[in-house]
Parts: sequence; C-alpha cells; structure tokens
Amino acid sequence: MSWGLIFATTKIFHFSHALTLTLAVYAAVLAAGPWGIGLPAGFALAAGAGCLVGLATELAVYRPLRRVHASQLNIFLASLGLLIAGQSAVLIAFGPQARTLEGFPMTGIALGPVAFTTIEALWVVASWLLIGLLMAWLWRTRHGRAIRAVASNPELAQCLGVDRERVFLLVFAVGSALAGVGGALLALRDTASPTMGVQPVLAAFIAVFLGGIGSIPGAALGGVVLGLAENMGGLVLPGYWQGVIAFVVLFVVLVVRPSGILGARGR
Amino acid sequence: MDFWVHVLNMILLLSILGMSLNLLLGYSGLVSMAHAAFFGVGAYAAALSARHLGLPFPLTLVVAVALTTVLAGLVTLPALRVRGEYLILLTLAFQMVLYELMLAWVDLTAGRTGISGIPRPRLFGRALVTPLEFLPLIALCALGAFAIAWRIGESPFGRVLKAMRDDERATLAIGKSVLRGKVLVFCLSGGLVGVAAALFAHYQAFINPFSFTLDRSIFLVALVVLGGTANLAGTLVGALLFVGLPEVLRFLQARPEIVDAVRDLVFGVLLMLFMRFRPEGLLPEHAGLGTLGRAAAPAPGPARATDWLSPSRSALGGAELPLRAEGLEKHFGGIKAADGLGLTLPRGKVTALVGPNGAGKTTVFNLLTGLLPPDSGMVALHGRDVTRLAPWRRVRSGLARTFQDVRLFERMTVLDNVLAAVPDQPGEHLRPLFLAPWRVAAAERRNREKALGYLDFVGLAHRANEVAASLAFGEQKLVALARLVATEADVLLLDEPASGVDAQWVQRILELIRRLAAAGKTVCLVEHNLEVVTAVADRAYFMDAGRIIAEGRPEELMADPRLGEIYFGKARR
Amino acid sequence: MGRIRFRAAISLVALMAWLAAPPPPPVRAAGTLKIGMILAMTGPGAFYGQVMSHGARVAVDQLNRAGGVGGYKLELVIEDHKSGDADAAVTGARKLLDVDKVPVILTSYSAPTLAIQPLAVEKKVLLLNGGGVGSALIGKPALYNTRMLSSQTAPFIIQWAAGRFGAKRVATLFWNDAAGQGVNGAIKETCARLGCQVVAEEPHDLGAKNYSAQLARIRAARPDALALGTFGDDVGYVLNQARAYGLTVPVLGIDWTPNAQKIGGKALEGYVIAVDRFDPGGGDDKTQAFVEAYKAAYKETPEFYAANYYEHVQFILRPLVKRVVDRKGDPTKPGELLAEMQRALAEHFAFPSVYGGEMQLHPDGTVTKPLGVYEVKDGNLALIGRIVGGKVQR
Repeated sequence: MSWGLIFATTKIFHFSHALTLTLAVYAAVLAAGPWGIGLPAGFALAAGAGCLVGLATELAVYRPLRRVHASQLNIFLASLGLLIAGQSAVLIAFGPQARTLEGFPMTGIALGPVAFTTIEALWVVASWLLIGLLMAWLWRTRHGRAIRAVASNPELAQCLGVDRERVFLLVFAVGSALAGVGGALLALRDTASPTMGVQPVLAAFIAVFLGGIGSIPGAALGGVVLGLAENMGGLVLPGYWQGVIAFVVLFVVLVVRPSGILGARGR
Repeated sequence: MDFWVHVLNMILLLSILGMSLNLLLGYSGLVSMAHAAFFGVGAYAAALSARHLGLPFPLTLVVAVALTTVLAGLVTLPALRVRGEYLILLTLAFQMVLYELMLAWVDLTAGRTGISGIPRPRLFGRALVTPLEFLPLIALCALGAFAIAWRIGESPFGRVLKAMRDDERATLAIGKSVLRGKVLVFCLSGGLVGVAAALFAHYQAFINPFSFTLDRSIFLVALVVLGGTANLAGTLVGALLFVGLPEVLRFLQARPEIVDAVRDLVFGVLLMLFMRFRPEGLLPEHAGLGTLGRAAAPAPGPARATDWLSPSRSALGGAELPLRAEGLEKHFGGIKAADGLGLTLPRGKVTALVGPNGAGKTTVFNLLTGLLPPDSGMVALHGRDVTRLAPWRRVRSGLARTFQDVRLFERMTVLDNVLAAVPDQPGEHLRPLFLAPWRVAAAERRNREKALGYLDFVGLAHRANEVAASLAFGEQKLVALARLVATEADVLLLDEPASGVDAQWVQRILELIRRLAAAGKTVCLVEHNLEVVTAVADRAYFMDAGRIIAEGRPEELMADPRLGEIYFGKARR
Repeated sequence: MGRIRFRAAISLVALMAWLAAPPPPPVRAAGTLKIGMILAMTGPGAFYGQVMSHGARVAVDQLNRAGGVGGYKLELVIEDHKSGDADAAVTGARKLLDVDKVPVILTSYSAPTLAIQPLAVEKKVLLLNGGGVGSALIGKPALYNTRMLSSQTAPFIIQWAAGRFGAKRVATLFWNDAAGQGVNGAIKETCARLGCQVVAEEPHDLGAKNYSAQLARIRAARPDALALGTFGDDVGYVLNQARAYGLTVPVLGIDWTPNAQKIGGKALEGYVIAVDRFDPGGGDDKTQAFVEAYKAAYKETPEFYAANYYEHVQFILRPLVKRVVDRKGDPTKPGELLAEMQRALAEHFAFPSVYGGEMQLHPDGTVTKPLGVYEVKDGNLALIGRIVGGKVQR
C-alpha cells in the first residue's frame, strides 16, 4: 500500500522504495540493539527514518528530473541508481551480515490444526490496523482528499487550488514512513540485510498491479490475493516453486486484465 | 595476456547483448527487463543441446537463436495489449518467472549447481579453448551483430521503429503498422541475444542461473541508456567502460570486500547523474559514429518538381465520392459522442467542421480514421466500405489526418519525419533489406527526393536535417502538413491546422491548403477560428452534441442566429 | 553540461580509488609463493569469504614469521566471486592465473569452483575447496575437497536417531540443490537399510526464510524425527519456525554455524549433527595453536570455515611445498604442486588435520576426516559421540 500510494499519486515507478525500507529498518535495528532504546522506539525511529529518506528522494532526485521533463524510463533508472548506490553504502557501512531485530519473542500459537507464531500474529494485526488508518485518513481528512484528487486528475486538482508538489511530498512522507514500519515488522522474523528491500518492493508492485493501479484499496486487495496465491500454491506445489507463483500471477493479470481487479479502465 | 583477452571477449559478448537491447530500447522505445533471462534461455539451450543431444557448435547456436527468437516473440503477444509502463512490469515478470524456472526445474537445468563440461567448439578441426582462440570467433560475431543491428536501425524499417518510439498514434496515422514493427524487432533482438548466449555457453563451458538474474537485466538496460540510446557505437563504448574499467581498478590491490561495493556505489551515482544531466547517454542519437551512413545535408538547389500537385493526378476512383459516412454512433458510458452522424466530402473542395467545444468534432475524425471504432454506422472511402479496416490501412487506401497537437516524431530529423510517411518503401520489409539492398538504396534515393519535394512545398527544405523538436511550433505544423501530404492520401483531415500560431503562419497554412484543394485533394478541417473557416472553406458542417445540425456555405451558417447562440452561448441578460 | 558531467565522473573515479585504497603493497621477497583465493567477498555470503580469508591469513602469517616454507615467503592474493557468480569467478581466476601466476587456488562455493576447474586443469594448477561440497565436485581432476560430503555424514544422523530415539518415521527438509539432494538421497538409503520410513521429503530454496508450506506438510506426516539437509544461516531460520509451528520432535542435521546459532537462539537446543567438525575446544595441540593465533589476530573464536582454510595452507600446502623443495623442484612453477599432490596421494600420505589427528585425501577429490556427533547445549556444540569404523560410539 505504501508503494501503491506513491505510484497512484505521483505516477513514479519508485523502485528505490526498497532503499527507504532498508535504511529505516537499519535505524530500528540500531535503536533496538546497540543504542538500546527498545523496540517500540525502534518502530518509531523506522517510521521517522523512512519518512526522511522518502522526502529526500523526492526532493533530491525526482523533482529535479521532473523539471527537465525526464521520461518514465529515465526516472525509473535514476531510482534504480539510487537503490544500487544506497545498498552499496549500507553494505560498506554495516557489513554484509544479517542483523536481527531484537525485542519481540517468537513463540508458537496453535489454534487447532493451524499453527503460526506470535510475530505473524503481530503482522496481521498491525497490517490491518495500518491499512484501516490509512484508508480512514485518505477518505475522511482534507489532506487525504487532496491526495486522492491529485491521484485521479492532477490538472483538475491544480485548478482547484491543490498544490501538486506539496501533495507529492506528503505522499512520499506517509508512504515511506509506512514502508519503514512494514520493513521493521518484516525484520522481526526475517532479519535485516542490505538487500532486504528488493523482494518486498517487487511483491508490492505485483500487489498494486494486481489490485488495480490508481486504486489504493486495490493495492490492499492485491496484497491479500497475492499472499493467498503464494501460500495456497505452496501447499499444492513443492515449496521451492513459490517464487515462480507470484510472478506467474502478475503475468496472467497483466495479460488478461491489465487494469487490475479494481483498477480504472481505459487510458 | 590471456586475462586481457578474456576481458575483451566479455566486453564483446556484452556488446552483442547491448546492441540487441538498443534495437528495442533505443530505436523502438520498448523496454525489456527480461534480456538476461533470454540470454539464460539461449545459453541453456546451447548447453543442453550440446551435452544431451551431442550437437556440434554451429548447430547449438542455431538452436539457441531459434529458441530465444521465439521466446522474445511470445513476449510481444501480451505486450501489444499494454501501455508503455506496463511493458517494464511485464518483462520484469517474464524475467523473474524464467529465472525461477531455471532454478527450480532441476531435472532439466540442474538448478543452482549449473551445467558444467559444455563441449568446446571445433572449428577447422581444432577445438577452441583459450580466450585467444575464441577471440576471432567472438569478434566476428560481434561485428556481424553490429552490421545487422546497424542495417536494421538505420534503414527505412528502423525509421518506422523510431517513429513508433516517438509517437505510436502518429505512426499509425502515417499508414505504418505498429504491430508488425513490434513483433519483428522483438524477434530480431531475441535472435541476437541467442548468438551471444551460445557463444557464452561454449566459451565459459559452465553456466548456472546466477549469470542471468534481474540484476543483469537491469545492468543491461542501464548500459544501453548510459552508452546512448539509438547509437550502437555508444553501446560499444559503454560496454568497454563498464566492464573494462572495473577490471583495471582490480589492480589497485584494494581490499576486495569493498571494491565491488564501491564500484556499485559509483555506478549507482553515475546513473543518477546521467539521468539528470545527460539523459541521452554518452553518445547521443545524432552524434558520432552511430550515424555513419545517415543522409548528408541536402544541397540548396532549384525547386523540385511538384508534378504530384497537378490536378490530373488525383483522378482516383472516378465518379465516387471520396468520403462518405452514414449513421455513425459512439457512446462513452452515458455520453453520446456521435449520434447518427453522416457526412460527405467532395473532391477538390475544402469542407469545414465547426461547432462549440465538446460537440464531438475530433471524435468525428477519430471515427473516420478508425482510431475509434464506431458502435454502429458506416464509412466509405471512394465507394469502398472501410469501417472495419485498421487505421493504418485506411491511410494506404487514401485517408489521412493531422493532429491538433501536431505529434511530430520529436527525436527524428525533419526529413525523416516526412520520409517515414512515404508509402510502399521496400526498405521497410526485412527481406528486401537484407537480400536486395540495391533496390532498397535506389528506392531510398527516390523517396528522399520526394520528401524534399514535400518539404519544399511547405517551404522548409532548408531545415531538413534538423531535429524536429528544435523547430518553432509554427514550423512544426508545416512539417506535419508535409508529412500528411507525403502519405499520398487524397482525403486529408486537418485537425485545427491554424490554432496556436499567429497570423503569418496562419496565412502560409491557408495558402497551402488552397493549393492542395486546387490540386484535386479532398480536404476537411476542424476549426474554431471562424475567420479561417470563411477564408478557406467552400462549405461547412455545424455540429452540436454529436450530431450535425446544419450544412452549407460558411457565410450562410454564420449568419444563422440559432447557430450563433449554440456556438457562443445564450447572451446574458 | 558536458564539463560538469566530466568533472563529476573524474571525481567519482578518484573517490573510488581513495575509498578502495589500501596500505602500500608489501615488499616482495625473492622467492615468493603466491596463493590464490577466490571467495565470496561480497554479497550475501560475504561472511564466509571474510572468515575463510582470515583463516588462511593466520596460517600465512604464522609461516612467514617462522621464515617461510622451504625458503619461500607466502603471499595471499584474493579475488571475489560475489557469493556464487560464476562469471566473476572465471574472470578472477584468469587474473590469478595469467597475471599473478599462482600455482594453487583456494576456492569456495560449488558454481565458481565448477566454473574454474577446467581452467585449473588447463594451467595445471592445484585447486583446494574447503567450502560447500556436493557430488558435482567429486571426481574432477585437479580439484580436492577438504570437507566430507554431507551425503557421507548424513547416514550417521539416521543411525543416531534410530539408535537413540528409536525413530521409525523420518521427515526430511533440505536445500534444493546438489548438496541438499545428496543428503536426502543418503538419508533415504540409510533408512532403507535400517528399516525406518521416510514420511515426507521437502526441498526448499536456499535462503528462503519462510518454510511454512513445507513445515505444514511435515507436521501433517507425523514424523518421529526431522532430518535437515540445510546449511549455514538457514538452519537457524528453519529451527525457529519449526519450533514455533509446534514441531517438537528431535531435529538432526549435517551443519551448524555460530551465525545460525545467533539466528535460532533457543530453538536450536537439542539439535544434533554429525559432521567432520572443527571443535575449537577439542582436538589437539595443532587445534589450540590455531585457535590462539586466530583469537589474537581477530578477537574471535574461529569457526569451521576459517579452520578449513587455515588447514589448506598450514597442513596441506606446507607439506607439499616442502616435498617439492626437498626434491629440488620449484613450487612456484605451474604443475609442480599439482603433480606433488598426486604423488603424495599415490603414497597414501596422511596430512595432519587442524581438527586433531590426521586426514586422508583421496584421488577422487573426497576426504576422510575425524567425525563426531554433536548436540547443541546452551548455545554451544557438545560432543556426544564419535564415529569410529563406520559406527557410532558414545
């Protein structure tokens, strides 16, 4: 959803969202570990760090490119450049080893035949909470409406007095903060490493395109569908084919219904 | 010594890959994030056919090329249905699926363990083992790839590709099939990849999936963009720098654990800087070696023959009306953009379509040209029903249009813009391009003269070699007009030809329109500027809310108060 | 615009050089033997490259301080295969072979090793692999592996499970590559011999981190024991999730690293492995000499992979070089060390092992080393059995 929010509003293929996520998570790791200020503070720090990185990216990279009318592809490549450079910097600074994010116990919970861990329970609760909050914010508040206006018709929105550039900053701030929190949640189970951001962002693309670009609830729906498909597929096919499933799903969606499940049709 | 020859071999292989991608990305504007996967498929094809089927080298190359060509062609099927940015994602998905397949399909590919012991090629009785022994073969293939790519890129076929890159709709509007171009160029690109893949498999004698990851695809795209899109020499330079330079730096005896990270860091930063300051890459499209063979500036000579303008030429179709439309209907949701619309266009006359904003005038053009299929109704060109005919084919049958926003092929030269529209060019087809180059060259010379003639007609022949984007708006409109005439269509639809420019341009444009009509062309224009309409049109249709509500001479229509009310709105009290 | 870009490019190259700049190159002694290494210095496996190079370096420093070997000073030249990139490995190897002219290369990871093996044969260079081993690496000329195949050690965990827990139903979870599949195969064979049943076989991707699908199926099969064909960090992730999903049966395997222990924490308690294992607390005085030197240099207790590469230099290359020198040969010449290895093996020369005692290298590239059964107790490995004459002894 965080990626979908940014893409729907700014139409930028923000690949370096992966870097935002990674840097935010490392901030949390430092907070929970060496700086010892506890996990909740770590989450807050992740959100803050993510927000800052996202804003910096928009201001330092995308805005100047927009001013020289760079093409979609070129913006994507710049985003990629940032990601590559950023990941290398993290590697040089922190070393290649995976770091654990301390502070949340992973214990098993069994509800009848279904077994899962406390971390996964946290994921479910936190995700739906955040999604709910985001949707409420987008639909109920003035800022949220401004964002949706820019997403659906930037020129008209500008005529009505909405400052497009400020809205962009807002979505980058919010989207990146969300990514930071999401990444921190992921790191609880999967640990943090310099290249950790790419897989989640790829999954994010698929979810967004699956659910329909331009539709923010669609991104959430897409995520659910994708998750179900991967895990159901995992039950039927040998485990290591899981990686293929996600992209086959994307491929099928793109071919059959390019606008996605909830997407707006037409040009 | 072997080490540097090895580096050179890798640079050459990378160049072949880069050139194949440049054809897609630089010349055709089609992004492929899947080229590393194609490379992998080709390599596995060569490796498996060598090891399990025992095929010798040249045959494994054929197998690899065949497979990659077909695969690339398959990508186009869904690609044809999706817009630009979706293509990035589609090819990304393709890349990931293929890569995961390579990893997971262990029975075929041995997964991450890879395939080792790929037999060496035997040429003239000797096996090629060392880098030095491989160099001539690889260099020859690289040269061949360059020749093929260059031939394709700088030919009339390449011109259509570039047009497609710059503006797909406009390409359709000059009568060229976009579909054919896309499929062919993907297949060609795939073929070249197959060559590099087979060479790689036999050269390294070992392949595993990690050589064909998404990272490699991304690196290729970056290489092509940084080296210079639509400039093959740029790709060569790029490959040299991106592979050669890090190898040189290896000798700084640095701490190995961070050399690579530092190199990636620099690469990422360079990518960002280039996108900001020099997006056209190191060697841009119209500079340097990549333009070998492009046309030299035309000599300022006497005015060219304009025999195409004389009335006798356009006696096509005899007694039939050039254009007739009946009962055209088009709904968008609840809105009726066209409601039982019918019109006729007589030969040699200028007809105008007027009406308030939102009346559906541009929609009429879209319906007539086929860019928008009607819900019902009929369009007949010279008595022939063309309602079901694809837009680009209608152009070939004699119906063409300009656009309100001009839509020139911005990155091409003025001459190329006009030249692209000339019909029946043998060089746009691959067989004559490679098998009958002399015929292509002769046709090209003739067509150049024709194109310069059209440019002469609008008075811009002296700007022929300038990039279209550098012209003033008024000049661009004139070039668009020349491009329209170049299609040799005799029914010409002009969408707001006089808008957005000041009086002197309007006069020039009107003068040209009059000459066209006098030469027997059938002209129809959409205009808001009523002075223009009175100045040039013989008759006019008045439209409102998707229907034609009046027809007659412009002066008559303008004198009708009812129409005036509709056009200008009711007077305020 | 062009100027700005040009200046930017120049300053970037300068920055690169500065960042990567090293201390000045060491003074070359006359008679230097260069030892090439191709390791995972960057990428997800960078940890391994780091410890492997550290292990070798400890040996090189030790030997150089004692005056070199047979009058030759040793020098390490390290190249990077970026955690498994065969292309990078080949380029790195070519540089080592053509420019540095090394007579021996220490490699790691299957794919890079397989990729450079033909080059080693062509240039008559000795290849030593102390990292991951799979059946694909066996029987390759010029290549000698110093880790036992996990398919050689796996049978013992089944023996242990059958003997100790009376396990009759065994589930397997293994890496989806030659190494993991080799383990799975060996387990199935042993089960067939000992009369237990394999009730679930689940391959998984390396570095997958999410095993829910496989674990769900394994649980459903109700095994008495779970046997892992998993290596490195993944062991930690697997055990974490297995325990969290409520799998309480004994878990056995063929690999354990301190990093996996960090990742798995308490979930690893009771995990049993059978390995040719390097025990920093055990072994003999050779082991202790290594552990002390490594601790002094890097402030850490050395683990398994560091030990292997120390062993390559200290206990394989040193004797080989000495033998060559004693024969009045020149070990830096290509082919000399390789030929000497072949000669030594023909004589059944027993190389010392840093694990304590001796090891036997075989002409087919396999090795026989001291094996033990270990259990994880309080976050550390404790020896609970030895394998002598093919049988497990308490």
